[in-house]
Amino acid sequence: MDPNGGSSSAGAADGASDPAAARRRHSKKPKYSRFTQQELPACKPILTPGWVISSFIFVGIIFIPIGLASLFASERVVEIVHAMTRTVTFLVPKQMKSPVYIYYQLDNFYQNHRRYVKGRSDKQLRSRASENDTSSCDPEDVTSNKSAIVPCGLIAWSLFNDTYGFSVNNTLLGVSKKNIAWKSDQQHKFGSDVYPKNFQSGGLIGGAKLNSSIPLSQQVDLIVWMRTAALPTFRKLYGKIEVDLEANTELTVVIENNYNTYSFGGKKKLVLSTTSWIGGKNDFLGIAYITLGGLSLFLAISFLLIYIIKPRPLGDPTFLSWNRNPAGHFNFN
Amino acid sequence: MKRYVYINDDELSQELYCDNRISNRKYTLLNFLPKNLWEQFSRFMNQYFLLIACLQLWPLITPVNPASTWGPLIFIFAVSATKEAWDDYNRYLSDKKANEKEVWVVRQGIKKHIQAQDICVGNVVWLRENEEVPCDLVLIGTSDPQGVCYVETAALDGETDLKTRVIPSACMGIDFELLHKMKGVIECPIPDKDIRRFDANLRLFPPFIDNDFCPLTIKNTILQSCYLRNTEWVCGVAVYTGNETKLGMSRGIPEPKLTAVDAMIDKLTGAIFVFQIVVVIVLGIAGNVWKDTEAVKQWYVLYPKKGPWYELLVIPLRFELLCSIMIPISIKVSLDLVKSLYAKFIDWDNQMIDQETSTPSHATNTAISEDLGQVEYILTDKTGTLTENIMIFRRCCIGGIFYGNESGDALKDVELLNAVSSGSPDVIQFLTVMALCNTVIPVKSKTGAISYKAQSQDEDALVQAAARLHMVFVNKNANTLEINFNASIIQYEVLDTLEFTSDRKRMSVVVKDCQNGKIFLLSKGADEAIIPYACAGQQTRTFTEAVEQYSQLGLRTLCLAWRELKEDEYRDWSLMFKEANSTLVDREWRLAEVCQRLEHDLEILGVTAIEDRLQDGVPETIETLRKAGINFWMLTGDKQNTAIQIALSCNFISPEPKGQLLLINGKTEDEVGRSLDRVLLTMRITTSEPKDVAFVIDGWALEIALKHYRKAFTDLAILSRTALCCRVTPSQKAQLVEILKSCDYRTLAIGDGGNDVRMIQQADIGVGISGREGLQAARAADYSIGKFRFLKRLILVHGRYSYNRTAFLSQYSFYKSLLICFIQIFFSFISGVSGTSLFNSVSLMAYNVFYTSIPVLVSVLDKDLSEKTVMQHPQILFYCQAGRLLNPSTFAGWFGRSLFHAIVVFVISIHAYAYEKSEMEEVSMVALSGCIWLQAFVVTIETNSFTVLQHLAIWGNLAAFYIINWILSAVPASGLYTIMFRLCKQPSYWITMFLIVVTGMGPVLAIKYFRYTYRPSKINTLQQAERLGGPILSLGNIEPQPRSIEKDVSPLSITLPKNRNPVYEPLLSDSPNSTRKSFGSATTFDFFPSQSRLSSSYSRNCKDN
Repeated sequence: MDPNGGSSSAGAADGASDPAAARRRHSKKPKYSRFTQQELPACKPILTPGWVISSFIFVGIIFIPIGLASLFASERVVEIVHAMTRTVTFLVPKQMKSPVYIYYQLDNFYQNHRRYVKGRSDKQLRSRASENDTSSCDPEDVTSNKSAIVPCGLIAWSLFNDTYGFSVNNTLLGVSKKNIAWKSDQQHKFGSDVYPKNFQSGGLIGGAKLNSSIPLSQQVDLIVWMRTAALPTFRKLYGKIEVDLEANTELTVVIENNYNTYSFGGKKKLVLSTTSWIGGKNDFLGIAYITLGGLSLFLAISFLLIYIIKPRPLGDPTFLSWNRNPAGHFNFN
Repeated sequence: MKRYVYINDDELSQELYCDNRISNRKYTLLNFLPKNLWEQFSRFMNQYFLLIACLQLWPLITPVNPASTWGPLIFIFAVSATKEAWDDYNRYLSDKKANEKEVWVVRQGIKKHIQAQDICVGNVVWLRENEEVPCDLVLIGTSDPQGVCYVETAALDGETDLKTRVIPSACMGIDFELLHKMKGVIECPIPDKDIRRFDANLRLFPPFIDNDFCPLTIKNTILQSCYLRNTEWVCGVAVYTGNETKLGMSRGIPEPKLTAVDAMIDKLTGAIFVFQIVVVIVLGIAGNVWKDTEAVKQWYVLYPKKGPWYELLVIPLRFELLCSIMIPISIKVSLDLVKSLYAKFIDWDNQMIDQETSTPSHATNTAISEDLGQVEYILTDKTGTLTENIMIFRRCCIGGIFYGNESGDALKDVELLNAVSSGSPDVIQFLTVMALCNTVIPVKSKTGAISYKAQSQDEDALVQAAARLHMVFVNKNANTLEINFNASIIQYEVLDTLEFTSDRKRMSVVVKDCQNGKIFLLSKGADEAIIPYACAGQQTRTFTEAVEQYSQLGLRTLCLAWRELKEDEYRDWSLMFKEANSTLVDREWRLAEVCQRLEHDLEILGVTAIEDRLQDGVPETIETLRKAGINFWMLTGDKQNTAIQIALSCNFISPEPKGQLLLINGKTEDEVGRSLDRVLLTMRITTSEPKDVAFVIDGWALEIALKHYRKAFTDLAILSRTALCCRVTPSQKAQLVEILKSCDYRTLAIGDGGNDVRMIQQADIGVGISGREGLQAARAADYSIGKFRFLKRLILVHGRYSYNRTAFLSQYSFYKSLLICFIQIFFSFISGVSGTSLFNSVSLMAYNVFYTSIPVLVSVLDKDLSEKTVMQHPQILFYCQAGRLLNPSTFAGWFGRSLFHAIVVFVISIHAYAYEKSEMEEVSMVALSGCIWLQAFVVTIETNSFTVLQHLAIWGNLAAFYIINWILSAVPASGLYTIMFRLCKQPSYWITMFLIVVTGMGPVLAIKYFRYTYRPSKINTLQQAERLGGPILSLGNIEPQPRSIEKDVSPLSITLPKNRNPVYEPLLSDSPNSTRKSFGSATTFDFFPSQSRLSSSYSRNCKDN
């Protein structure tokens, strides 16, 4: 995408040719090389109207189709967003091909807060041997009798604990938790020999409790939760529905509302979504591409018009003010 | 304060004075670390980074791993320390070599071989031919029966000719064996660094000689680092040893020079620092407010109700650490690196090798190349700098007859040859003075050819010319001079030599004709030092005219004179002279006074004219550099007329009607003041006219002007593009530099001799010509070049490129640091103003040191215009002067760009990676790779010429970014595990990158293109002309027409001074309201030189019209 990159113009062979032989005779001390003489062959592109205009046109031509494709892909994703109350019933607007991803969305929840992101111990999560490595977990590091909390820290402590039950026509829909966590996390970040210990046993209960007989590597909700989000509005994978949902299916969700978002005015939302090649529903890229492509074309056309209406020969030496003023008393502007 | 050195006294002096161990080392093994660290930490930037690094050790506030600052900090320190250590180690090795050299020293009456470092003050040291002198010695014996030895002092003062040294008279004739047992005392001053003075006394103890004091001068010493030549052996008493020798004392660490660019970078750094503090305070307050209002509601953050006392400080300090990357830690290392490469490019440059001597140019100071491109004033010496300093005898006037006026070469003038062969007494006397009145040493080679070793080029020229005219100076044997004239040998005995000093401006010898016993005083010197002392009744008019005529032709003149002395007159004087010679205080002044008593009533024999040719390419160089907007000042010790002539012939000033010379002169304060005011007024009036106005001032008037009218003179200095300062002393040269520097001009001083050293050291840039006057100037200088004409290339090519490159590199460094810092700041707004770092430690560390440093480093190869174009259009240097490519407003552009790019990267990253994709590590890597992509394109768009290396660095670096991150993503323990693989598999990642690049670069490109085409700078226009090929052909017409140099440079072809008169007219018009032609006598112009010679000459010129 570099308009300059290719345009190697006349300068390439410049300089290095003529006096080289003459110099070589005498140059005993500094060895002659193109590098030492700063004469490496170089391509010296300049911003000619042709190059600039065609690169803007090129950008326009490339961007608009990509934008349309992205937008189209995003439009094809079927997404249902619902604010959470106790029980929700809604219609599926379009057919949703399996897998249908179930996300919970939290607004105004600062998983990226400094105090929060630091509240974990990767070593402790990884292996049992480092169970007592809780130095970074303050204030949820140890119980009152100084024995280590596993998994320690604010992130694990505030684990999301709402649960959803889905049913279609009063038939329960199975929610699969398989592969909702990253495989790499399960294999390398969360130890298979690390079991929850002293978790949520203190005076303050944060979020979900963990079954202390299941190793951390199998606690997929925890693993998902612990991939902290960079933005205060985020979605996390809750599970998958492994069957297609036909259009106009009436879907009933029974929500067990445990997680406290009232204190900070955050909202909880339930999201059901399919996926496409650019991921979930996100119009941003498509719109940005189309806008940018349009702008590029607009710029290209304006440049072209300016170029036609008011041509300006490049490199006209009369623009050098000292050429206009013969006495050598040039003034710059 | 005096020092008493007891010869051969082993016990006494050992404790009192230091041994002969030389140490140039800055560090020892033990103090290296503390001292080096102390030095490094005395820089503000380093203190700052250390503070940041220490704060990072506090886990509560550090946003990232402390390694992200410690790593680069330690790396940078290690690089600087290694460089220092290496330099110091080399100094140590050379010291060690000098210290452990074996020398013969007398100990307890026996000659012993010991190491040089064990020599004590008072020891008698023996040296053989071609050995280096280990310490400062007072000679007591030589192999030469006349007590003479020859030394080469090149290492001390850079002069390559041999110097004669003699043993003191008291030691004359002492037997070789007895020297071991010699006892005595030398009373000498405490060590100083004056290598031209040694005012001491020697008294030998019985049984050697009477109790008389024997005066010692520098002539009786041989100094450390000299070499003994043409002498079998010498022995001497060590008087100064180790670091107390004259060489050791003059050794010093010069003040490091700071370039304008460095100063600007420091200023910008300061501004960013302030900006950073403001950001930190604002975000700190915002953070604390957020914490108190919002964070308490966010139950999951679990803020304690009551924090520790320092709680209020925690968030601001976190932001301080987060923003610390705003100041690029790598900038100093990058700059050091590229600066040493600039210096190397100068060293390597094949086009700046002096082909005659095959000396390449050399950058001694590797840190100030950028300043070369910003020079506004060049102060140049004349002799040896503009001229070749090869003296050729061209003309003479003997007894009123001019020789050499027709042919331009007196040696070929038939009349003169006839006069010589017919034995005209005037001519013979003239030639005798030419051959004898000097300090030249004839050296006979094995083939019998005679060559001359002379300290001054003028003397050499005179002796050579005399030899060509059959008066051959064949031999100097102690005090006997032998002259071969027309195959007969004439012998003279030298009785005394009245040496040349710059105050006396003449030298004389007293010789005795060995045939008839007559004593003569032979003198030669500047006209004003000889002609006023002519004997009463002698017509000096022709000589004055001859001097006038010759100096108008740009020739150097010397007047020759003689006088026969009466036996008793000489004897009386001789006693006074001896006494003056042995005074310890004010010896020079006393001697001058005594000499004056002999040098009067001279019979003037004639005037010699010596040509000092202009170096090749001087006029073109000056013209080109003046076009580049550089102002030239010529500072010379020479006469006004000679200086003006040279100035005319080398384009320094233009002849009428284009040019105008304004004269400042006067003998008294009032006169100078009035003259100065008038010149200033004229200067102000003529600034609007396209005219080359120059002022001329001589040393005397300058002294007064600097003392009493400093303000007015400074105003004048700012106004005038050209100035000629004649008859100026070395310290005045330095003062002039100081004045220009005080007006904030970048000055470059160029010179070749010892008298230029002060000016060279004072100027922002000192350039030395490694010429015939020795290497003294070249050693003191920041750059040494072989010929004046290389200055053009040095400034226009090396200086300009260096400045452009550094301007880009430094601003880019700030840009990239600001970019990542702005992203961090934006991120803090969506992370509860808590000071979370978006980027991980590894990325932050590698970002500054690695990802973004390498592409920009290759900008040292960037050339915005080809060398040829720059040479054709030197005016383009304007963009470098006064910092037009690196200043707050250009920096504001870069600041804006980084802000814009930060917004682009941040907004696109958080929108493209929103909701379910908003995983921290992924968003962080998306933003980081967005930055890296933008960097690559920013460097690309700012690069003017791409060599293979640039492509390699820019695109290779981009590839390296991915490779490194893939490697990191493959390590399970790293936080980055699998992240980069996941991202690279997503089409949306690449689409996002593409979007960032186009959104970021599109506007930049559009603006750049618009400016480039519709508001082109001169650089752009030339780039277009150069690269499009088409209009460049028409550029050829604008090229400065090659001047026919012959016409201008060889004033010798003009026989009559009358022809030059138009040139002199401007001098007469220095009163703005005077009508030049109307005045009749010089007396109406009170600002005219009161000196009769000058005024008469001007009025004569005028009448000739």
